[in-house]
Amino acid sequence: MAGFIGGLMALFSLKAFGLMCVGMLTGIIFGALPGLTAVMAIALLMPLTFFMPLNVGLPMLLAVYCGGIYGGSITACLIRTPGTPASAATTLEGYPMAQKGRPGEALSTAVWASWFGGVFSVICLTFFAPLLGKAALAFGPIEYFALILVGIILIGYLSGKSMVKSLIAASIGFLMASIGLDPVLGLPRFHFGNVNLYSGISIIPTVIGLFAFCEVFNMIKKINEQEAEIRIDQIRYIKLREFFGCAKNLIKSSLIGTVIGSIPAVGSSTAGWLAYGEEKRSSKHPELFGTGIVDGIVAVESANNAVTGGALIPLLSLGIPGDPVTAILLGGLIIQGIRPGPTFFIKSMDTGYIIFAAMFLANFLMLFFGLAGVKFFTKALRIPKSILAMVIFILSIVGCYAINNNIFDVKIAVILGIVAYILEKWEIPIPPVVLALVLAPMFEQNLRRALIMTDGSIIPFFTSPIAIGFYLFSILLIYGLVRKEQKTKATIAQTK
Amino acid sequence: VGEMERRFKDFCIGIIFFLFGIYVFFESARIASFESAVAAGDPGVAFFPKWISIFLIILSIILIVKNFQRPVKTDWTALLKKIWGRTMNRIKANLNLLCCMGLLALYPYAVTKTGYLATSIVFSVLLLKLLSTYNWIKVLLVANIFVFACYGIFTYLFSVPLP
Repeated sequence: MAGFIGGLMALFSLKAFGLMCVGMLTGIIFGALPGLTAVMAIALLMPLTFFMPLNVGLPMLLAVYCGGIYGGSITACLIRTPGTPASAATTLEGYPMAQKGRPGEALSTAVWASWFGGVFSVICLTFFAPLLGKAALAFGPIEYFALILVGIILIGYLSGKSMVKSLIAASIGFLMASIGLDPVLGLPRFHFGNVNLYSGISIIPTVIGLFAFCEVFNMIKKINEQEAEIRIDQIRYIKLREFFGCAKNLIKSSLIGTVIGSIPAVGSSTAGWLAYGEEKRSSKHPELFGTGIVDGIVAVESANNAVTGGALIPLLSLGIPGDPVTAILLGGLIIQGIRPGPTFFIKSMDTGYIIFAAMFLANFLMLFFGLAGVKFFTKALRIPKSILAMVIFILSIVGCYAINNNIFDVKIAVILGIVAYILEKWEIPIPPVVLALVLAPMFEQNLRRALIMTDGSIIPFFTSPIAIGFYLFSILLIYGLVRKEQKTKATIAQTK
Repeated sequence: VGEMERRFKDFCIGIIFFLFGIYVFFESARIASFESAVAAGDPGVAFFPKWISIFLIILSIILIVKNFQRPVKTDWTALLKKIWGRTMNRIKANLNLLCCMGLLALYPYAVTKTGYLATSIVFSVLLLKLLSTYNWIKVLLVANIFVFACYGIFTYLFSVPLP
């Protein structure tokens, strides 16, 4: 505890604190704008930190990281354009809530949940980093495969009216993920002679196309039908009693986020979707999901922000970066003369405490800036729909282009936007497409790696205790799905 | 009639995905799979898309079977006429949506020829004229301010070069 307080004290210089505030604002802006990511922001600010002391530069980068993940939820809630792939699932509840004239509640729920998830994961990082690091190291291809299997089954819970249509949507996502180089041998598939397709379909153009463009098409349709503008008389924040009423959901989702974050290469998008699916599965009112309920936002935002602390666990305790952001942070630490790894907590404990304290403080700064900005952000909804449509189009196009400086990504987003609009008209849900696209590369890679390791035998798949745990959980989930289908059928029969 | 139409729509969706699944299956079969090329257990490059396409075919068959209606009970000509009429009405009502989709589809091709600034300004002006009743001055002002602001922010502040 004394070490943690010492770390916290090291941050209370005007320079360190001021730069953390700058980092947080930069992160929020980069996170909110489609196409600009926390990775990009950290990469841009990293060279500045080379000439700063460790207790000044590193906290600023960590603030960018936390702000970047949270920032994505702002545009996800207000205009159904997730600023980062991590907040794609936030659109499912945040946007309908904002459309009901409750944008303040949506944004304040997102920021409180992000804060809780972030602080929870920092506590886990502080107390359990070495332990969780070792557990994450026990994950081989078979365990990864079993974990992703759970995620795939959770797709069933994201279904709308028809399970078959949801599974069709998931198949589309899986097939989209098959485009490009295969993840094991690196051989091209479905490139149709187009060099741009060798690298596959990136997640950002996909998310922009499926959510942002599709939403603008819906917005244009509403303009045609002369639907009334959203009426916002007063910006209302979520009541803390109501927020902490979701304590069980908060803890469960933050735990999912921290665990997913601590497993290298799984990422915050997966955590958000898994937490949302799990919350919908365990909810007493799953039918309310998708209509703009607090529980959905809480699940996604606490999970994807909990990834920030979780991702630092393998980085610090094993020296393994779990995602691109931590890979850049690793570079920054090495340049500063710090080498993360098994001996980090023995040799560089002071730096460890600075990191823990900086993450802790960054989450409080995020809460402050997030809540202070709610009234300002919600002004976006007062913009006339025609201008908003133009703004989203241009921002999304620029965002798609900015990722790889490639106009092909814009073409992909446009095609997917039109496809998503048609799919929505056919009552085929969009979320399973995105979740499948996120999970598919990991699923295929680990399944094939596992089969290579076992010479094609499936017996070792059932000998790993961790994998067996996940299989048992999967069986429970399938049982839940069957019951859900039976209930839905019974309700339809009763209505008839 | 509503239920019948919904079932007919789902039946057609089933057929579309069935054909798509068949196409993907044959495309997957054409991929050089390199099964066991690196190691004995590797199911190969085509393994994953092939199985997903089979899964998609099965799902679409379920959708077709679930929504199949015996022709005896259905007046197909009347139903098709009604759906055709409704589709035409919808197209007429959403003509500016289709125009916006067309504009958006043209944007990536135009931007490579004329650059970000010119394309975006023309695109924004046309879009605003299609969707609003603003006069030309307001439309030009809004479009120019936003497009130039975006250009400035991305190019100079974030160092992202736009075409």
